[in-house]
Amino acid sequence: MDYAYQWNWVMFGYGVAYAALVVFASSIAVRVTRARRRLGEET
Amino acid sequence: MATLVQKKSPVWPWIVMAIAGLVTFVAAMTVPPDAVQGQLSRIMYVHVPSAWLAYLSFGVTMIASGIYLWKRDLEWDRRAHASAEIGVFFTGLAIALGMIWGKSTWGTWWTWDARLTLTAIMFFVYLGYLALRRTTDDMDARAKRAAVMGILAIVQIPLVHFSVIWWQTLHQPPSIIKPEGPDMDTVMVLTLLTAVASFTVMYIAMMVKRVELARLEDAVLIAEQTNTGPAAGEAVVAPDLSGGA
Repeated sequence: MDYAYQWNWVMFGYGVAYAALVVFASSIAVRVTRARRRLGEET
Repeated sequence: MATLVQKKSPVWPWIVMAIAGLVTFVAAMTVPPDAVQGQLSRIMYVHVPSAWLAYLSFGVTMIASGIYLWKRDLEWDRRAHASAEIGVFFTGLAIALGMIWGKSTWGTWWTWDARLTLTAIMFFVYLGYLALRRTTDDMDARAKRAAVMGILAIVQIPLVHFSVIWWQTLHQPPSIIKPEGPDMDTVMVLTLLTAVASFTVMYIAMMVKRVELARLEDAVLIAEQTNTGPAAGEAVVAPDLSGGA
């Protein structure tokens, strides 16, 4: 029950999951930076 | 506004998120494969924690919404908002991972099964919650509307969770939380619990950063609303009707 195709699916799943986590965390970081910059301009 | 903006943005949540992700990955890759599904069972160690975080996030949104309506403190509204956005992300991730697992085991990406359909509906309802928040810049009105929806939308969680018991579904019934105890191997249960705990820690770290962002967004909104810059029309000068005399 140890077929290579199974690892392909597992790696695809983990690739999707970790890429999505990095993108989501980065989106928070980018928005925090932008908001801080805007506040610096406003005040 | 000064209380909304921390001088320094904390770095530790990013480190905690990375460690939690690494712990989950190492645990999932070192556990023995399942006797029936083989290596494909490893997808469970990110699919189940993602679904758990969707429940947890929307539960926190409901509680924070209730406390906002009780105390009228906008900080609770920010927590509800932050948790809802994280919940939408993890619901989408649980669906995507479920589709990948489904294609590799069931042979199909999607089926209109009760669990899958209700999870998709929950995803869109909470997207609606996030959209509702963008309909007004009045922070109190926005918080009040969102709080009502954040409380009402929670009804979907028992529907999604018990759908595999109430209806005949292709999706399997619960394997761990059941009256007769888990029907999984102990090492698999422990690995799954490790992954769930790591994802929960990741959620806490994400909340710290997302609440910080919500505070900053409100501070920007307040600054824009109180900024008394030149109004349109101020540059127009009244015509001189004296005839140059």
